[in-house]
Amino acid sequence: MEPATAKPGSEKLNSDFFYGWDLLFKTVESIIDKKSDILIVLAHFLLTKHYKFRCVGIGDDKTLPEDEVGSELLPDHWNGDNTKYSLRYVHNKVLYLLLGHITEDALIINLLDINTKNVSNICVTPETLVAAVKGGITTTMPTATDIVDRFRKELCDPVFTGNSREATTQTQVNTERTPASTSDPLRIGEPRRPGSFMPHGFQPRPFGFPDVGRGDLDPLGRGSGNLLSFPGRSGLARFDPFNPLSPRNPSGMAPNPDHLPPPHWNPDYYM
Amino acid sequence: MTDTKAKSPDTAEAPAATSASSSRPTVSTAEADASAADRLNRETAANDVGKRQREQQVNEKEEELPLCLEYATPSSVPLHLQQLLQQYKNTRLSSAELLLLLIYTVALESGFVENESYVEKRSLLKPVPSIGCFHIYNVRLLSRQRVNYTKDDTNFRMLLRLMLDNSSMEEPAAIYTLQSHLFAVVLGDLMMVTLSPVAPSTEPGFSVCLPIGRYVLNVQLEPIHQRFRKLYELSLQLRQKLFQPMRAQQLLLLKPHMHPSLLGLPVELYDKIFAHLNNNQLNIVANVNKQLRQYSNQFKERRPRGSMTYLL
Repeated sequence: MEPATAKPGSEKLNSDFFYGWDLLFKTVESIIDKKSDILIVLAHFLLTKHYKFRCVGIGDDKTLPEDEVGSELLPDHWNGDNTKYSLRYVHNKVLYLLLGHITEDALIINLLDINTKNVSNICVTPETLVAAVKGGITTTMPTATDIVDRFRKELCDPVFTGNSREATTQTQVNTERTPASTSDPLRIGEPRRPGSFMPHGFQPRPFGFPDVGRGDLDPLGRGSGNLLSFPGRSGLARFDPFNPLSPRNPSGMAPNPDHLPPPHWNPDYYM
Repeated sequence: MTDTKAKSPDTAEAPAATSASSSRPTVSTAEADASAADRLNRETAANDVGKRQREQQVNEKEEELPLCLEYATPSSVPLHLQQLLQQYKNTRLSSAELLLLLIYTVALESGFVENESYVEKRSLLKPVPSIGCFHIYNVRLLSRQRVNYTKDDTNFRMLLRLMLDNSSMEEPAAIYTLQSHLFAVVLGDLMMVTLSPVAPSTEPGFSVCLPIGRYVLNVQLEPIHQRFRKLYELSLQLRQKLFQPMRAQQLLLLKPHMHPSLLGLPVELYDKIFAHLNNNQLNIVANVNKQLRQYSNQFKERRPRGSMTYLL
């Protein structure tokens, strides 16, 4: 049952991802004459469908007319050269160059952002990755999904999605912080913190824990000091929280255990 | 009587001639020999002095030259770059080709060599340990010949090989790992350079885009190296984005030792470092990785039990 279940899911994933491939391939199938052409078509498919690039022609011209819209299809003569490919793309008014160079046994593809001069590259072997130049995608490229993953990671992402990833990361951080601060019931009392007396360098305790032992850090909260100055400052509301602690002042307070190192602690000890 | 008198003059003449010839050659030969020896000695001494002076001048001149491209200026470039450019003395090179020669110079300084040059000069090259990549002898030797590259329209391509110090690197599998393709594509005023592993490797390659005019002026200045600008920046770009990442990747595929790192030290140095650590600290080191665990355990076994650091 599991294989039967997994296979349809996998097929569905592939079919969804490669939806539109057949249509694109039909437009160029008649002029494909070598295996490296298939890989370039796949790169084009990835850029146009999943990254919303639009092709504006062949060549390495680095100028882009303002009114250029581009196309989802490959331009004429895109594979006219037997040794290299040069395709121009536009995305958000930014020009990109997709360049491929055929060597003895490999195809090296570069993607260049004209504005930033960021450039990526990938080296693929057409003879091992492309099984046939005719037929469906599973026939032409049995490992098409793996190839696309490599294209995405090594060719597209280093040049195009770098900034997007940063933005996404920032958004995630902001999103994660907001729900936590608003949904944590222990933080309800936080607004009252600013009104309390805060010695220099003192940080509020996390999670709304009571200020047990805080007097040890507060010079004014110490026994004798607080006791002696209490009558003269009874009018200050900010000292009200210390009233319940006054019975302990005469006897003095033991050091806060949290400030002491753990038992048998050795900085060089390795656990 | 007449016959007797006739013989007497012959006898009298003979001794005189013999005496004269024997005395003259002996004295002149000795004197001549002495003079010749003196002259030879003086000439030899003079030659030696002259040679030493010339060598000193050359050494001083070489010492004044920057050691690598990173420290070059328009007026002073490394000797190996001068030698490389000398190979193209009577050749008209475009700005892109000059930039390619600069790129190759940085490749040499980073421990790479064009593959055909490596095959040709292999027996003369010095080993390059993995903890370093620059060997001045190799760089200067390899810069005395033209670079083998193929040019196709606006593309340049050459096959590079990383130089190392291990003879086992001549095995076929290692050879493929040590090789990489250098592609340079000219896009108008830009040169896109890619250093890619040799197929069928699936390891990533590295690329950088260089503005040609930033590093090579499009003017006919002589000597040629006066056309170069911002060589420090160029050298840094190429090292950081192409050659060092590729070299590190290749070394990792062959062995875990990388250029200057804790894992690439001579074994005896670990003892000197571990001698400063107590047992707890050695335990921490042992948990970093297998190599350091092995070294630290070996050190513990060798450490004398009476050592003060053992008691800490």
